[in-house]
Amino acid sequence: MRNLLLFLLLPIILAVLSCAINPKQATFRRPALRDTEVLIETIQSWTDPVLWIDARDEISFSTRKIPGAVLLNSGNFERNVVEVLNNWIPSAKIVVYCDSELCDNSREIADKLRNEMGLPDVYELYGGWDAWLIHQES
Amino acid sequence: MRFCNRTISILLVLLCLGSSLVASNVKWTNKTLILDAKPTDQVMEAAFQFEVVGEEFFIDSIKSSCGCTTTSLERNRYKKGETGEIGIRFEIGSRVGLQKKFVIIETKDPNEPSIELELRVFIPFVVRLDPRFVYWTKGSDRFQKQKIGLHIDVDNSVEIVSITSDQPQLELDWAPVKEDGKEYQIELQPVIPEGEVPFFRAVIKIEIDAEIELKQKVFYVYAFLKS
Repeated sequence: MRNLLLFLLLPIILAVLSCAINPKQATFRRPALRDTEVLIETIQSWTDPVLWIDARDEISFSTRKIPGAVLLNSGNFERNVVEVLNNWIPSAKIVVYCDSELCDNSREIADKLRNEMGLPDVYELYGGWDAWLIHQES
Repeated sequence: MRFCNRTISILLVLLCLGSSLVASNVKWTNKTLILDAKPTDQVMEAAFQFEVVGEEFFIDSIKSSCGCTTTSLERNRYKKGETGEIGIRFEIGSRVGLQKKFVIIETKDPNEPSIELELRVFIPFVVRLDPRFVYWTKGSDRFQKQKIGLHIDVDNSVEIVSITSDQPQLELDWAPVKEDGKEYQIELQPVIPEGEVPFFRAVIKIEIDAEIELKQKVFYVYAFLKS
């Protein structure tokens, strides 16, 4: 009987402990990298050239960007995709980034480059611009 | 027996405590909204509806994952038993295919400080070009012909008005693949006159007309001869 009660009690204790330890839940459920997402550390280990695509808005891009990045978002796609194609070389890997984990512009643009333009090796930067900044400061 | 009664009492207290800690304050009709857009739609609007089943529900902020979505809320504070809705407006723009947009609600509820809502919209393709970019690289003596598939993905009648290239060094030909007028093939081949540098960046313009009012009637394909 005592064992049964303890068995019933255990999940409740765990739930209460979980709430106490982690009262704020993550804003987005992003437990793991998607197949097309890459970490900055992974990109640094690549030997192939990287073409950075900045999928943020124009103001953020003109304020500060990853060196060499080309601006491309859904608002200016047709106007700016030509510049992306100009800068792209067949051996390059493309990495798209937006503001943070909260935004999904990088996924949208990466999908368009992959599926519409037929470009190979297109990835999204995990954590976006925020991750880049943290990495630069560390 | 006394031990059992005491343990059961503690268990019930903890159960109540535990459930009050994890129970949601708000009941949502749907946390994921799925919509189908028509080829002519420019904007999609919907609402996430909720009912406050627990204590007061206070919304601190609402964030969208995309600049293409805007949200609306009548007020921030809702009492127990009240119903409300969070309106969402999605600007389609040139987007096609399945679109997933997220809304994050930050609340004052310590048990559920953030709530994720999802809007899924399927936007039909009118013209699907596969692929929209082809390229050749210098070095090969003869440039192979490249093919682009043009698919009409709507039931309505769509007419190809013209397909043109802005580069004389690129030979262009197109023809229907199927008799129903829903599938075409575009063939592209560089033709470099002797003595000229093999290099171009061509934009191929495809103009269509349809019996329905379309938001996009011009489509582009890019063909580069790269160094």
